Amino acid sequence: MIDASPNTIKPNFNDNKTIFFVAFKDIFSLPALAVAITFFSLGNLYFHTHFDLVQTLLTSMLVYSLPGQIVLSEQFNLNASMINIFISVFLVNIRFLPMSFVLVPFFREEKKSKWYLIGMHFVAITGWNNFIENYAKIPTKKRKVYYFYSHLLLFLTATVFTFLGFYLVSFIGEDLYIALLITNPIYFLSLFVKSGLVKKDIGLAMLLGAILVIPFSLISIEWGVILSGIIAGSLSFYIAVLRGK
Amino acid sequence: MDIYLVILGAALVTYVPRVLGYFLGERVNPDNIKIFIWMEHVAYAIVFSVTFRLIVLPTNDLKEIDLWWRIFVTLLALSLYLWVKRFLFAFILLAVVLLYAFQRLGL
Repeated sequence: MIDASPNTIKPNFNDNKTIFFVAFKDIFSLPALAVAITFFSLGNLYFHTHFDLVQTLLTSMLVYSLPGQIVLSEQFNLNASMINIFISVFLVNIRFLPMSFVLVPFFREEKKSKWYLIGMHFVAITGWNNFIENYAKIPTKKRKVYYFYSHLLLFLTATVFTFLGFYLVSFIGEDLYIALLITNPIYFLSLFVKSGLVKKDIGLAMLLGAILVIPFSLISIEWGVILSGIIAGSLSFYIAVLRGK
Repeated sequence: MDIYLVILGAALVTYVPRVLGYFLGERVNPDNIKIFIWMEHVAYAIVFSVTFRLIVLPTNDLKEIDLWWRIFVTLLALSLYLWVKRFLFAFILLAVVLLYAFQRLGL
């Protein structure tokens, strides 16, 4: 569980303006750049999936999960049924559950408020990772403010670059559009392989998922990802249980 | 298929785990709930399955690029990132530039 205990408060960290600039600096040092290029590519992809601009922007604003949006586009391209799309997107996004789980201490307040209902919408790997890496330097009472600023900046970046990706697709040319499609797989691989190297059990789940997905996709392109993910995840979980973890 | 319905449904099934995790976090001890751990395993396995399939068996226009070039640039960017442990953005750009160049050169 995350340690959300009070820290040493730096004197200039107590006003929201300073917190905003800290969040801005953290986000635009790398996370926003990665989000910008991956969502730009996503905008390209949705153009070629034959979504219109409003539909494309809505996926980025309402779903706001790059893997979920990629799966949505993949399954849509395959003419999968609606139920298949929902199951695929849900299973890909189940990983948000343990992520929002650890955020509880940061939203706890003496006076009960419903801010967390909005705050949880922004839970996504890049922002969450940035928050977990940086929250310790923020005074306890300002961590929620930092959470919202940093996540809103990423959300805006994602939305703007989805728009640009969709709008500029015809200007960038076919070759660059295709080359940009590699950004999302590399981005996911880099983030998740890093997690897998730290947590070996998760690493096994990912390895099994990669091994099983091709044969399962050859059997059923529509259900290949779902089946391989459930079987690989369950197997690695079972092995972890057997090893007493 | 109504695209707006697909988007709304996808938004809902994405929001559920986000907010459910928070509700459960307020009420239960994570160390006692094995189903969380199972979910984490399944979620990572699925994300990796999707990612791996995007590279090896893409349904989008990435399939226009030779499989071995796709694997090569991915492994190159990933290895460089894991080695240097930073500059992920730069290595992603490198992969894009290489794939672009391969296409322009007709490789």
